[in-house]
Order: sequence, then C-alpha cells, then structure tokens
Amino acid sequence: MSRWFTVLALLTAVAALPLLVISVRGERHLPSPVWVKAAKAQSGDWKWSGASTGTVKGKVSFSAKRPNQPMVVYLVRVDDTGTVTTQGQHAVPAELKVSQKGAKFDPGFAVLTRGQDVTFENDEEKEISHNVYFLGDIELDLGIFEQGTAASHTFEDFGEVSVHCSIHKRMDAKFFVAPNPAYALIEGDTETFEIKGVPVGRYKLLSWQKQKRFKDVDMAVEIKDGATVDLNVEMTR
Amino acid sequence: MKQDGRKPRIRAALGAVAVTRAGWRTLAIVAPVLLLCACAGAPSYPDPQPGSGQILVNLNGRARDGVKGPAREDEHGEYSITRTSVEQGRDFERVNYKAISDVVVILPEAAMPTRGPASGVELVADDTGFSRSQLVMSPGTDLTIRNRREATLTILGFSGADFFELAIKPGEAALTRVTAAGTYEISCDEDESLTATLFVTRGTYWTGTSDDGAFFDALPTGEYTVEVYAPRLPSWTRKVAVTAGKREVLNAGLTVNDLPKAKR
Repeated sequence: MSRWFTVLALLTAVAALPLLVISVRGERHLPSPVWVKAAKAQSGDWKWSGASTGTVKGKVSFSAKRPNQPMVVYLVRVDDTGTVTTQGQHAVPAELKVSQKGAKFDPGFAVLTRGQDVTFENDEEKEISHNVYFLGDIELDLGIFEQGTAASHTFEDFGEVSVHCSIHKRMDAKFFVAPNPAYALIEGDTETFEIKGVPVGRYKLLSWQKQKRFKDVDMAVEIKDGATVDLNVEMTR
Repeated sequence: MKQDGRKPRIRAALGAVAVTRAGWRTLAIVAPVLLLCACAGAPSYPDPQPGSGQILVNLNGRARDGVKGPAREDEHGEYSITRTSVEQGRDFERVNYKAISDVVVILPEAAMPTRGPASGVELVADDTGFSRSQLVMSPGTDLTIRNRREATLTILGFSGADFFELAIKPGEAALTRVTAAGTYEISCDEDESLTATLFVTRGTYWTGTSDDGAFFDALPTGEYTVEVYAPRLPSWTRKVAVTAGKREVLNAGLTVNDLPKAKR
C-alpha cells in the first residue's frame, strides 16, 4: 500500500513542480524601438574625390512646433529611374568610440557615414559585463563585452540603427547612418543647411527624424557642375 | 560484540524506513494539494469548438546565451560574468526575461470579435517614465494619457499618416480617440525619455506579460499571420493554418539569440 503512496506522491510532485512558478508582474520596460528600415548600398567604382561637384542648400520649415530632437537631411544617389544606385567611394570620418560606462552608451546618439567604424568599449570601472546588439535591417549581435574588452563594427548599410544591451534594460542608443557624406544635421534653432562638394548626378533628398513628428520628405535633386540647388524643405503632418 | 553492535543499526534502519514511509504518506497527501493549487494558478483555456479553431502562442523569453548572472531577486543589480562586484541603481536594472511586460501579439487577418463599447486604453506618465512601453487597440478606441508629473507635458503620437497631440497639465488626464490604424511613436516635448509605441490594428490582438500565453479563441478556419512584438527585442512572425476543432500551439522566442553574430 505504501508503495502506491510513494508512486502517487512522486508523480504528483513531479507534475506540480514546473507549475509552481511565481513571477512578478507590472515591471517597467523601455519602449520597443521604432526604426526606419536600413537600406543596402554599394560604393561602385567611382570616386567623390576629383568629381565635378555642385551644392545643395535650403531652408527647413515645420508646419507645427518642431521637436527638440535633431533631424537629418541627406542625399541618396539614384539612377534615371529613381532607384538607389552606387554611392561612390568617399572618405569616411574617423572611428567613433562608444563608451559603456555606468551602463550607458555614450554617445547615445550619433550620425555616421556609411563605411564608418564604431568601436564599443566596455570601460566600466568594475567587473561588469555588457552585450551589444542592433535592431532594424541591420540586425546583429556583437557579443558579450567583459570589462576592458571592445569590438568594432563597420556600418556598410544606411538607415536607422537601434543599439541595445540585452542585459541592462535601460541601455539604449540610436544611430543614423547616412549613405554618403552629403548630409546635414538640423538641430537646435538651425533652419538652414548647405551641403557642398556633391558629385554631379541625380539624387533624392530625404529626411530622418530622431523623434518622428512629421512626414519625411522625398525630393528629387539634380546636381550640375558648379551649380547650387536651393530647396525649401517643408516638414508637414 | 559484533552482533550487539548490529542490532542498534538494524533498529535505526528500520526506524528510518518507518519515518520515510510516514514521510511518503504525508507527501502523497500534500503533493496532490500542491498540484491542485498550481493548476488553479496556471492558465486554463476552453476546448476548441467544432466550428472554429484556436491559436495559443507561448511567449518564451530567454536571456542571451552565455548570460547567467544573478537570480531573479538580484535583477536590480548589475550583471557580471565573474560577479565579483554588484553595482546598484536604476541604470543597472536588468531585463527580466521570465516576465517581459507589454508584449503585443497581433493577428492582422482576424477581425476583432465584436464586443461591447471599447473600454479604452490608459497610459500614465510619472517620474519613472510611462507606465507602459507598448500598447495596442482597435481604431476608434479612446486613449487616455494621465500626467502624474509636476509639470505640463506635451505628448505627441505620430504614425507617419496620422497624429495626435495633447497638452496635459500636472495631475490631469487627456483623452484622444485614435481612428486610423498604424503604429504610432508616442513622444514628449519636455522629456525625450518618455516614449512608447502604440499599435492600432483592425486585427485581433492580445497584450500582456510573457509568462502568460497569448490565446485566441473562436477563430474562423484559415491561414493567419501571428506577429509578436516585445520591447527591445526582434519581432517574431509566423504563418499558421487554423482548422476547425483544433488548437494550434506556437512557441515564440523572445530573445536576441537568433540574431546574426558578429565575427570577433
């Protein structure tokens, strides 16, 4: 009889254990990232250096109160059909170093140029580990960073990149990768921009907003040798 | 002498058996009670009906491979592989993969079943941030945003096609009816850390914590897309065919483990 008690006890205990999980609810998480899809781009075999160039300048106006957050206007080279084509070989800015000290990415926001390297450094003063991963079309896990280690990544595509740590829930950053050097950062009270040295050809002028509040613009632009294109960029809802 | 020495040991062994048997009897009585209690807390779903089907999405949050770290009760401490130091503070708060809040699951092709008037969705802003990072509702539902801060907040929701803007005084709430479907990025003029994502969908949806399963009942037979959105994690999508009288069970991994790995 006791054998049956034993069997019954074992079976019910084994069945009950996985169900006796108590979890705490109601905690707060940072929001899901909202990103624009990054796009693939090739450099091609032509160079920015030595090319005949023109200038794009303009004024940005907003149909409602503009956010305190920055925005970018940038040029993407397109072919005769308006399709994104080769962006050319161009110089890239120096490597950007991102600190992870205090469980914060610093800088937490940056505008990069396609082809630029970013090095993430775990420069914590104590033995604290971090993880770095990207979301969006550039989806990548850079691995776990122990104190004193670092890893670099070259951004070959362009668009918005959300950067996170899978361990620490408030450790986030946001990058915008421009397809080429022809971009302008609009922030603070700035309303005008001027992009010089753009190789002759067809482009689209696009906008990207760190805090999405207006419809992004998409304007056809043709750059001619020595000429300046003057644009009125209207940000509307 | 040897025989004398064995007798107490035999007696002790017999006593132990007796105790063990008593223990097992006790366990045999207690364990079913524990099982009943556990079952009472576990989700139970109705059986599928002959004319329709069901989808159950198990939401499996998993920390990144290689991350072990402190136990649940230590999650407010930082994580270190060697754990020789423990830093405290809000910035070091860890992701709890056992119960990820504000997971949203949407079946875009399944129209929301007709219910009573929509009760509305509420979002609260206080000194720690927004009360929720992701919200979901049907078009035409009221969204209430409550300001528990000491300064006026200007809250804007923008989907790319539609928007709403609310100026909310301290201690007050504002209401807006969101009519257009889309994914709205909610932001604040005064504090850039106040952000949330609002999904407005004509499909059937579920939202909750990942330790619950997302259960959809009385679905007409056919093929459905299941979209799972968890804060700060890659989205998860699957297609599933629903047949009458059956429950389809899906296991959605809420994890970064499936992301491509960089070569180092």
